[in-house]
Amino acid sequence: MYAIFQHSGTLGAWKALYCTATYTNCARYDKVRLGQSVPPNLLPNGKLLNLTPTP
Amino acid sequence: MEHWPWYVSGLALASIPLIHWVGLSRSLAVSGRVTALVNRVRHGRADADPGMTGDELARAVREATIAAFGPAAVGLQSEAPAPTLAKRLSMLNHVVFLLAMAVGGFVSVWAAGGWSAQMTLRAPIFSEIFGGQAWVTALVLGGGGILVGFGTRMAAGCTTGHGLCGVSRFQKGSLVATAMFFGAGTLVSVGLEFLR
Repeated sequence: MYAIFQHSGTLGAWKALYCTATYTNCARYDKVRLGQSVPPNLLPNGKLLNLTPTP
Repeated sequence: MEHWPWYVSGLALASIPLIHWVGLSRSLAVSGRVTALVNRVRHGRADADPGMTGDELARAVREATIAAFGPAAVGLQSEAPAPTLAKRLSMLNHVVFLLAMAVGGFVSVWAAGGWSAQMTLRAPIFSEIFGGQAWVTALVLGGGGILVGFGTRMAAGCTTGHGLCGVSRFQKGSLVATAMFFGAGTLVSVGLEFLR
């Protein structure tokens, strides 16, 4: 997932808001902190990435 | 028991990550494999492969980014081709790898003619400091294992991932991590000499 973010030119926005700034707001971080499973499609803002392939 | 000459050990240590990279298209990471197994046991198949191609995932990520931040957040690289995603390794792959490590160690020491079951470490200094009692040995080694595991998780990698693969790729984090655990190991070794 990280590789996709990095190569799709979208990493900067997510990184600025959820990694380097207020990382405690990151939903993925929160899951790890609570010892819970991190769904592969969970975005840092708590929404789920649509993993349904488009025809 | 005869130890391998340094140049044979060095070549073996260098070739194993290379073979792993060529064969599986990913860096050798022993603790990463252990973590994958533990996560599977703890969380089931929640981290399973999403089953999409790199292009499909990149498109979905771009759409989600635009939805969250607006079109300006998607830079010029947005049309760059998506990377080829390495296929997730199966649990069987991890188990076989970890078992092969144990078997490989056994075969190595057996071939060198030095295998024997014993309840303490081979180095005489260990017995001199901690004695030869099995429960003390188990306690010390178990405690050491917990500390190593804690440090590995904290550093996001072990001696293989950082020391072998990260350092050879000049990764800054790996250089720092390797300097720290080698430095700490050296200090503890020197400290133990004073306890003899």
